[in-house]
Amino acid sequence: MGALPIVEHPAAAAKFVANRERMAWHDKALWFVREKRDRMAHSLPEWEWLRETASAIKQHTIAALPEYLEQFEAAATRQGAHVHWAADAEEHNRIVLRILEEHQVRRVVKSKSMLTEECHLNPFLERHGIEVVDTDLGERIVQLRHERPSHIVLPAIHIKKEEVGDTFHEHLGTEAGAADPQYLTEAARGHLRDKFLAADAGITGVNFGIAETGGIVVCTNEGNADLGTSLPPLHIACMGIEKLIPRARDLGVFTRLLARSATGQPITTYTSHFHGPLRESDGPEGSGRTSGELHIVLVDNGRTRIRDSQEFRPALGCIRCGACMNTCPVYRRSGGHSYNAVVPGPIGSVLSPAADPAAHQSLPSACSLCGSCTDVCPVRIPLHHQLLAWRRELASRRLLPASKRWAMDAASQLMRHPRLFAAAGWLGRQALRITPRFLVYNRLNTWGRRRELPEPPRESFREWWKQNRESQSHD
Amino acid sequence: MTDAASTSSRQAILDRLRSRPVTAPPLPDLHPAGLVAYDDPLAQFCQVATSVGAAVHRIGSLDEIGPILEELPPYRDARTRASLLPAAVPGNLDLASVDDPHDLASLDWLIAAGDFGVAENGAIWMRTAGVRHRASFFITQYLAIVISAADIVPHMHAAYERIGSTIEQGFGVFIAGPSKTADIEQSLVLGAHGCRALTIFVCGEA
Repeated sequence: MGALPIVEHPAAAAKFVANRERMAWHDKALWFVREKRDRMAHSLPEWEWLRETASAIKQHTIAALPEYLEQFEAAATRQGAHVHWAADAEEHNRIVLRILEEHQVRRVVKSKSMLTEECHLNPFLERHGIEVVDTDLGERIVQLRHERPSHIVLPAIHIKKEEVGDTFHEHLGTEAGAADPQYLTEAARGHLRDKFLAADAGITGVNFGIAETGGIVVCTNEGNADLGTSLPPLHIACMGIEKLIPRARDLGVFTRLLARSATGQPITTYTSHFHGPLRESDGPEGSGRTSGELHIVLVDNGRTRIRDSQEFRPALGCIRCGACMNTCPVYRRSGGHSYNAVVPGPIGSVLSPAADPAAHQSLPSACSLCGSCTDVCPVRIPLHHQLLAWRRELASRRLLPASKRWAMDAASQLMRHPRLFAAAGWLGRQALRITPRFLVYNRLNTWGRRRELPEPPRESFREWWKQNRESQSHD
Repeated sequence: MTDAASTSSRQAILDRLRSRPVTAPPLPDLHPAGLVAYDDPLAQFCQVATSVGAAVHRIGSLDEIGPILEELPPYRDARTRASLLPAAVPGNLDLASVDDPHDLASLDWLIAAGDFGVAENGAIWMRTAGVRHRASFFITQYLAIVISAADIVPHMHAAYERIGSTIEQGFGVFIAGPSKTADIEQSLVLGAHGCRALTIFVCGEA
């Protein structure tokens, strides 16, 4: 993580923003998903009850996390799974590698997992001579292009179909210039079927871990997690410790919220419940002969630290639906890569500074505090309040850049001294009136970019009040 | 399997969590009033299942399945068909005879029985109990699922209520429509990695 260059959000967004047509296209694509989410939310009278209940379940679980983790471990072990614990990303990667090496695995198929992105598992395994194929179509596109996902649910939302066509032409041998999504998806299906059939192991993320039963739930639309865990005999599930829920019946709440919030679907196509390893003739009737192994890796990597904080603890309730990104006016217009973080958007801007405050200090400011993220969050994380809290926190830790610090200090002086405030206002009004255009609308003044500043009023509000209202209010 | 390092990390994570006790609000009750109710849950199921890409057929008896499938070109042209309802629809591959799930790569059709459907989202709960290879459900090019019209629950709360402790018996999956993706410019394409099409037969009267 420390290797990532520190880039401020506005600088990182500059390139994306410069292409106005593409920015508008990106904005529209995400707003379309947001609208689908709204239609789904409005179709259920109990939507707000679901959000409230999901939030309460998560808060309860995070508070009692050590007990639920132990309960989960015991139940999962009883089911025949192997449970591992990793304090950080490095340990997670080492555990995964060790399991793979013990099984002489050369080829791995992986379904979507933000945790393995967070731990940079792919490059680590590749360095050790293991082929890792991302099987989610969006992630495969991004992988072939040597990029990072720009969205946690829609990893390739920033890429145009013509670009996918070029990438597939180069790597999968599709026709040059072909850009039909149906044709390209079919090509990827064939390509990835071969990978599934050749894989020695499957790695998945975990959407929900059930403490009471020791089961894990994985949700996909493509069916990639299911193929990747039912063909090869080894399944490694990587799971952040905050993914637990207490009871199987709590899934009723979360499966109703997740896909509706994420993509506006009533539920994901596949909602798969794993209890124990792959067995032949599964279930009570069958012989249940175990034909595989299931390893669950529980990962902390900074989550306990977030739990320590009263302020930011609710962020651990995140179910990674991406609704906050789809609705965020900054994310929609700056693109996921501008955040320089594994998880972008509002929730990423809360989680990333917790992992590395200096590297991600600009993210909580990539926000207009409009509050739309908070309104759509299915587990009611008060996202915009947390972003504001981070700004306070980063300022008090003196992690803001000098330019912002000086501006804040100056504003603070101004606000505290009424006479100074009045004088500055007068000066500003006069200055704006007589300053030649080129001095106001240039590269140095970001407030003059792409917008006309308002006509400076003749008088301040206080002057107006004195003349028009003050005498009346004393009547 | 657990080595010394992982064991000490286990202790470190639990210690760290316990060193910061957090008062837990109680686990909320899951029996609310005012849940969505459908006048006709079966009609709702059929409508939503169709909207998520499945082809739904209401049938009076299992005998009707064969003729309906025969109308479908991908079924007529299929070389390898497996049926878990051999009395209703015969297959030409006995899944129990396949030793290695990789040999299922050529499977064109699977006809299986679902446990129950969910009205609010068109999903069907499937157990892989008694089926030798779980992969059969995902590797088949086309999937047909038969459920009874009487087996429809209104929503996911009722679904998990119904599943109860059987959830612990291995693997189970809700399947809602055929596999799909919209990862290329948000254009919906059916047939990502799992089945290309899902045909649902709802048998009998609610």
